[in-house]
Amino acid sequence: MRRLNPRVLGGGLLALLLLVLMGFPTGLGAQEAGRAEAADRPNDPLQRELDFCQGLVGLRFPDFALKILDHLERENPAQKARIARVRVAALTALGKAEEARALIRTFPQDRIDTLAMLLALGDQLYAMGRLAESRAIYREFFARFHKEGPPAQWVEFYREAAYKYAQMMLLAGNEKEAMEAYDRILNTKPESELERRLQIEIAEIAFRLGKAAEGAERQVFFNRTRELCRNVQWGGVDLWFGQSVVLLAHLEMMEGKPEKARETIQTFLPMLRELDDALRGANYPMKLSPMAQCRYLLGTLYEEEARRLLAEGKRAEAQKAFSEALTHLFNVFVRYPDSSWAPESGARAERLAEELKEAGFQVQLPTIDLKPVIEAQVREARLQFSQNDFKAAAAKYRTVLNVFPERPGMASLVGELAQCYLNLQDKLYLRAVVQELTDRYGPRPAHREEAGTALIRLVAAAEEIQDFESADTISQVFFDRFADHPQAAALLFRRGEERFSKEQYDLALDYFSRIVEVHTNASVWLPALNRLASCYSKLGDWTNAVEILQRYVTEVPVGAALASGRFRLAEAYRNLDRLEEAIREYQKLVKALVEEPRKYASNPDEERANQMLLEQAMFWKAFCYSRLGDPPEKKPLYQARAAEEYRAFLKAFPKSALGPNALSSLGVLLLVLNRGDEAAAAYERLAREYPDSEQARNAVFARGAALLEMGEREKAAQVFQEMFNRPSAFTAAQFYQAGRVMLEQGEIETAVQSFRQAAQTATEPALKEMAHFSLGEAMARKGDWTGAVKELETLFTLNSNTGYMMPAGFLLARAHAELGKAAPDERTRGLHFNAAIRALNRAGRVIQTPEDRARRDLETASLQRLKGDTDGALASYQRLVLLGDVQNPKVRPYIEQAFEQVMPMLAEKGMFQDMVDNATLYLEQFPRGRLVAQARQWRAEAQRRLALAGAAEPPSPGGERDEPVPEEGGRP
Amino acid sequence: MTTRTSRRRREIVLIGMILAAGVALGDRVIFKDGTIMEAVSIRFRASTQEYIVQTQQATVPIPAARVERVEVPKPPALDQAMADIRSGKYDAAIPVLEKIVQDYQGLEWDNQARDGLGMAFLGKRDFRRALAVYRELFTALPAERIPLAVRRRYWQALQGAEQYAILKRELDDAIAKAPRDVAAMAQLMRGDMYAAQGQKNDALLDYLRTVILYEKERESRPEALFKAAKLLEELRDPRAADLRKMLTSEFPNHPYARQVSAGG
Repeated sequence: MRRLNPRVLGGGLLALLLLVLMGFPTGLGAQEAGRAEAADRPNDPLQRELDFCQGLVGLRFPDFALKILDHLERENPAQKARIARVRVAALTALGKAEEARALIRTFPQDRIDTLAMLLALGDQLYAMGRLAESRAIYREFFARFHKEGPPAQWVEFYREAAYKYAQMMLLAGNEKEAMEAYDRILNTKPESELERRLQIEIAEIAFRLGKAAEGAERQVFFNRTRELCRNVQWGGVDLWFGQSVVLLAHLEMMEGKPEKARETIQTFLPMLRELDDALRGANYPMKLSPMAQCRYLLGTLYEEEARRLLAEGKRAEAQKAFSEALTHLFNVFVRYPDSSWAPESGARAERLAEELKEAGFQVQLPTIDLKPVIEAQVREARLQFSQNDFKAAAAKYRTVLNVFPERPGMASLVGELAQCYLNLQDKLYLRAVVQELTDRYGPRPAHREEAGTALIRLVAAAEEIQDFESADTISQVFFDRFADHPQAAALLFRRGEERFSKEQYDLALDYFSRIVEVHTNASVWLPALNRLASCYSKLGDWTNAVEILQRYVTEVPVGAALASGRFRLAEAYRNLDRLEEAIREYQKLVKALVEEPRKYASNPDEERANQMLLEQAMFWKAFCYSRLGDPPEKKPLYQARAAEEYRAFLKAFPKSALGPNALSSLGVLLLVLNRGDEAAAAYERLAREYPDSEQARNAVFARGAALLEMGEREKAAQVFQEMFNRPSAFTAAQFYQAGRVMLEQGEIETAVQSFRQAAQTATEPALKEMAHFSLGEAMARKGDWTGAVKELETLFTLNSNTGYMMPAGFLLARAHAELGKAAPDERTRGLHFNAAIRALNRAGRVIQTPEDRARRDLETASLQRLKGDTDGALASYQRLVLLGDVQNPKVRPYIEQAFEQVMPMLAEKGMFQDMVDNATLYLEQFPRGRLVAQARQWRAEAQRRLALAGAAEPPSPGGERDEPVPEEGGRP
Repeated sequence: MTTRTSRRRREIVLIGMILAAGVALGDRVIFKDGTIMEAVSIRFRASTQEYIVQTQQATVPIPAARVERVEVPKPPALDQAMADIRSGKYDAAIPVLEKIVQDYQGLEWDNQARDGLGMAFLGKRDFRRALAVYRELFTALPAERIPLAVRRRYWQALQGAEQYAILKRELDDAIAKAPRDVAAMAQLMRGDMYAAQGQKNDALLDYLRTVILYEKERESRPEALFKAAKLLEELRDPRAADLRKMLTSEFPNHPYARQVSAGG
């Protein structure tokens, strides 16, 4: 075997290694040619435009690109060829490959840039999955040079095309054609380094083809492999030399000659050692050395030989062979920890040593420490990850995890593997890997915390790349399976805060509730309790808000937070009409802030906030007194007390923004208490100190409204009658306002009267429209659908583009639908439902937001139901339930309503599987929804009906069981 | 410049191996402390949980708690009974195996016979009886000595007897805690269970996980590749082709690989 001069070896090696490390040099494809030209013309405006067009094609806007290219061609007729390159790409992207080819044919066929365009077309077709067409183009290209090869000046271009084609064929699984392509390059007599690399690549392909073939065909391929390997070996000692040794050994193993394979490697081992030394001396990464693979192969061959000898009873010889095997395997992972053979060698050596001990051999080995091997492999994986090469990183992680499963630190690596798939957006593989953490590592105490932490990191990684769906899903998995993790509470709080910030209060509830119920010792427990109360308040669920706030005020230390908490508790009571309890809380707060202000504020901001709380508390306390009515005989006492409280408030806060309200209410109370002079003084003060306030300008209305709120309906009616008795003394706006208050309080007839007055006397078109719309609403409330239609049609007559288009359209549709439902004959019925549809369509014209669309769907469904079109209504509801944007807090209430409406309809139609699916979806999407209990009932009933019908039911997901299943026996 | 010899010295060298002591002849009792007793005959007395061992000198009772295992010649009828099972002649095999279970109680062959009985009952789709037999077997053997294939047959008996709740619990437990080869097999079984219930996504996850992270478990890998490929194909996922390619290249002679090559 010829040995090279080490210097030559070193120089050749350097070149070769650079080739390996930097990849095959890419050359002149059409795009590359363009870029090369661009490099020559850095300030060329045309090139910038062409680059832009190329970018448009890449972003799937080839039609826009073509328009620009047409313009460029008109402006630069002499640059047609340059422009044509990009035009070809645009045409192909539009599916117009034939047109692209025709264009290429208009250029001289003996020019390299024409051929570059042709091949670029081939590349694009390949990228679009049109393999046959791509092949045809490339084969046509090669056929041109079949007899005499490419001219000298085209050799580089030809080689690059052939190499690229070979890669394409390998990816497509066509190894024969890949081999032919490499052979074409060889036929151009490339320089030595390239020739040797190609020979090895061809040899590897030939070997693989031989393995898959049989008989004579196999022999042909194997002979080729052998021949190429010998050629490489004759050429010198380098990395390809090492590869050839490995290939030959594999070949001999395939031919059933393991001893020959061993002999081959042993023969060349001295040369490989020299190569190793050269690499080491030049500080190259040892993972490039072929020695690792060769010694691994030797190790496995010796192991097989040893097992064979043992089976034949030749223990002494087996012992020697085992010794050799272990020596080689050890050396691989100790000396080449970075190589891809190290993990397998280490694991194999460890396993072999254990087996030998169990078989009764006494084995003395140095301690097998695989940590350096694992660390080296993991370092490489992390480096690839940091370079965004997620596919390669995933492959590396898998190698490590498959060879060294379930050691300390492996759970974290499983998490990192999952992150690779997350970044590749491969959701399927991501879920599979996450399941390994939950099902395998999670249940084991030694790995549990690490597995949970890996999931937390995965959630953070998902948030970082804004894959919120994955972040949510993985968080949920974490919460379900790792509820005891030290960081569970913190993550729950973070997720809750995120939902809270998006106003998704019902979803935020779930997270905060879990903390409050389960993580009672967590540092975030009290903040979670606070947030939970806020969620309930935002949702208007005052009952639960009270319960939580009661707990909160007993737990929170004395300070600003307690003051705020107590105020919110009082407010919650007030909203529930539990006025006495509200008054008690307001009173506690007032007392605390007046008597011990320093205890409740530690800085000026808190002091200011507390002053505002005190102001509010005093006002609302007075308000609550004014609303107390039971027992009736005590009412005057309450009203007197309310008056005192208002006075106290006005004394403490003479310039308060609530002053007008307080004075107005005080005046009303004093009137009711027959203290007329005092009442007059109050009104006089209102007019003097707050002349521009609504209460001052609209004293009669304010009186009436206040009396209504106090429950003094008769007195309120008398006051409003004043307005109707002297209509000229009041404006249309005041009548409208009165009407609104009446409508809110359920005084429909008076409301109608007020609105009618407003509509008749209003001069501003906007006010007229408001009045007519409100009349429509009032009529609808009364069930006077004919009246509602009349008023709403009047509204549209006044202004066909009214700002009330959507609500009036929906209401008008509803009114017509109700009239249609009650119609005496088919014709009338048809007229009304058609009118309803027109009204809906009218409303639909101004729909802009998702919540408006959701409402439209709901209204459509209602209309369809009234019409008797059950299937249509069902489809409309289901569209919302299944496809509505459940993440949008404004759409969620409509989805919930749709669910509530559709479930009885599905039951009626016997669509029980749909009921189960809908209920399951609801429970996932609305874990704290108002229909949770109902949804469970519906689902249980549907499952029961399905079981009776004999259909297969999957069990309820999430471990829930709606019915117990009888079991026999127990575990053995 | 270093010589080959000195370089070799620097490499890690293994030192010495010693042959294991003892050569086995005839019936034997292997004790938990590693010692071995040769015997003329051995029988098991279930009522006292003792082995009655006849040596050349005497007949001695030995508590089963001291015994790791016993070795007695194979029952002559066992091979034929197993052959009958393989060729579907279950009714012929069953009485033979039941006798072996009775006559060789506590002597290791009874467990093999039990497995044979289990296979016969599975073949006859008499899942309750199969389950009963396997439960006896699992009582008789420690968990680490139960072969993978036997464990799988037990799970199949549970599935056939529709004891899904127990089966799921067993599989979840095995997936969580058993050695990796058992866990991989349990994942396949759980995947099959999900697939039978129409939960194809869950089935796919179990198969895929076995493919991705249990590469070393060669007994389970071909089946995992095959089944994962099948489900991926239903989803029109192009990776189905990759998995099939892996199956045919890694296990060219496996029945699943042949099925794929034949277009299945």
